[in-house]
Amino acid sequence: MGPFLCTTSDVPEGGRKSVQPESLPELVVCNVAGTFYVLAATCSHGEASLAAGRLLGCELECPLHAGRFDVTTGGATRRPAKKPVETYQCVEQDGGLYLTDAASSAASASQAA
Amino acid sequence: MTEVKERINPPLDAPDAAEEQYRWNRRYPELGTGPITTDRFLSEEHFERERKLVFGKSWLNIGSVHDFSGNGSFFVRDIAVLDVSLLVVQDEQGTVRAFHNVCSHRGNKLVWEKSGPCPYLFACRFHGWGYKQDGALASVPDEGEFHFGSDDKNPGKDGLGMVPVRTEVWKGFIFVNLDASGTDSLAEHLGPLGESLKDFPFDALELRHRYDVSDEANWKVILDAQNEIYHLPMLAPLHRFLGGGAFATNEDGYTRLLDFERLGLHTVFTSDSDIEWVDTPMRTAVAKAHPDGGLTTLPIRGPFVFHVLFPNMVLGFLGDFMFTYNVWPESVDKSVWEIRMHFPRPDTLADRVIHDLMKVRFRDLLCEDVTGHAALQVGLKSRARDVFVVGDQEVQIRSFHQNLDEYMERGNRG
Ligand code: FES
Ligand code: FES
Ligand SMILES: [Fe+2]
Repeated sequence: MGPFLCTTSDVPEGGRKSVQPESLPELVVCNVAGTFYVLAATCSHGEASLAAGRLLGCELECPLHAGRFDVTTGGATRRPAKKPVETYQCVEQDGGLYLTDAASSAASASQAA
Repeated sequence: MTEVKERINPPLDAPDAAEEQYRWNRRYPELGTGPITTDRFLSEEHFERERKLVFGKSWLNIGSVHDFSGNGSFFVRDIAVLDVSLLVVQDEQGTVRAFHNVCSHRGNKLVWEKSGPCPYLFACRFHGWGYKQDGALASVPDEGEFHFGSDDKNPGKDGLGMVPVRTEVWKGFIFVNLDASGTDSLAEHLGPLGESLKDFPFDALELRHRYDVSDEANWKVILDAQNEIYHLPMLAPLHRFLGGGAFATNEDGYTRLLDFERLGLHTVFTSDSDIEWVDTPMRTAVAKAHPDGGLTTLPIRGPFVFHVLFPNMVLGFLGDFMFTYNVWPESVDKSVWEIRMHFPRPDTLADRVIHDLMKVRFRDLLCEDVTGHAALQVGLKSRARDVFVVGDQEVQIRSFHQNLDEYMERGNRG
C-alpha cells in the first residue's frame, strides 16, 4: 500500500480535497457517489489547483478558466483545457484512503520528470 | 450565377509553422512589439482627429445593393460621426448614387423615410421642392418668385440639384467618400485586398439577417475585440463551446492564427477548425435528417476568414456564410455595431433550417462579445494604465493601429 491520503470522512459525497503526501505532487481526492478518485491537482492548462474548483457530477472544474476534467479518466472535457491530468489508483482501508503502490511510484516518477 | 463549390485556396503555410514563437513579428517586424496607448480610446482630441482625418477622408462602406428593394429605390444613411445624412439611390437602370440628403432651398433634411421605392420626385416636406433620381432639381413651387441666376454665386435651377457625394460600388458593397476634393478611387483604396477577393462569388449570397447593436465603447475597442481569436477559448461559454468548430487550438489549448496578412491598409487572418470538435446534438440531428442540406461551401481559405477593411468594416466568412460588420462611432465612447449575415440562396428547406441554426448561434456568440466591449471601455476609462500590451497572436490589432496612425499622419500633411 502506498502513502496515506486522507480519511474517507474528510471527503463527503460530491466533495473534493487537496492532499499533499510527502515527496509527491499535490493531489486532489474526489468523491463521486461514494467512489473515490485521485488526480494530479495542477490544471493541465495553467497555474491553478483543481482542488480549489467545483466538482460537478464526475467533472472537476478548474477555478481559473473553467476548463473541466472527467475525474474517472483524467481527460479534459471542456475548453480551454485540452491535455489530460494524471489519475492515480487508491484503496480504502479502515476508514483511510491510500494510494496503491503502483500509483505512488508512478506519481513520484512523474514528480521527478 | 457563379457556381459555389469547394475551397480553392489551400492554406498558405504549413500547419506546424503556426507553432513558431513570435511568428508574426518575424513576418512583419515593422509593427514592433511595443504597447498601445489607452489615450487613443478615450481622448476627445484623438477622436476629433479620427473624425476629420479618417472618417472625413476615407472610403466608407455604407451598405450594399441588398439594402435596395430593386431598381428605382432608395435608402437613407445617417453618419453621426460626420454629421451627415445621405440619400442613396439606385435608379431605374441600376446606377447607384449618393447625395447629401439636404434640400437646396433652405437646407431641410430632404427625405425622412428610411428606405422605399423612389417617389415620382423626392419632394421636400417644407416647401415642396422636387428632385429626380439623378439629383437634378426638377420642380420649384412658385418658381417665378425666385431670383435664379446662372453662376456659382447665384446658381440657377441647374446648379441647385442635390449635392452629390463620391460613390462607388465594389462587389455589391456601396462605398462613399465625403472628401469632395479627394482623388483616390475605391479600387486604389481597396488595393491588394480588393485584388484578393476579385473572383469571390459574392453574387451567390443574399443578405438574410441584420442587427444594429448600440455598443457602449469606443469604435476601436469593438474592432480590436473582434480582430483577434486569443479570447475564443476563454471569454464565455458559447465562445469556448461553439467556437471550436472554426478555431483550432494547440495542445496547450491556445488559439493560433493559421495565417495573417497585411494587405495595404487592410488585413486578413484565417483560422483552422478544431479536429476534435463535436457539434451540438441539435446540429448533428439536423445534419442526419437532411444529409444534403447546407452543403454549399464557399471558396474560402479556412473555416474562419476575417478581413478588416480600413477603417471600420469587417468582411468575414464563418463556415458557409458571410458576415459584415460596420462599426460607426457616435462619440468617443459610444458606437453602433452593425452586423449583417449573408447566406447562399437556400435550395431546400433543410438549407434554410441549417442557416437559421447558424444565425442564432452566431448571434448568441456576439452577445457575449457585446458585454465584453462595454467592460473593456470601463477598464480603459479608469485610466488605471496608460498603455496596454498585445501578444504576437494579436498582431492584427497592432497592424490596425499602425495603419490608423499612418493614415492620419498622411491626412495631416494634406
Ligand atoms: S488553468 Fe485551468 S483551465 Fe486554464
Ligand atoms: S486578459 Fe485580455 S483584456 Fe484581460
Ligand atoms: Fe468574440
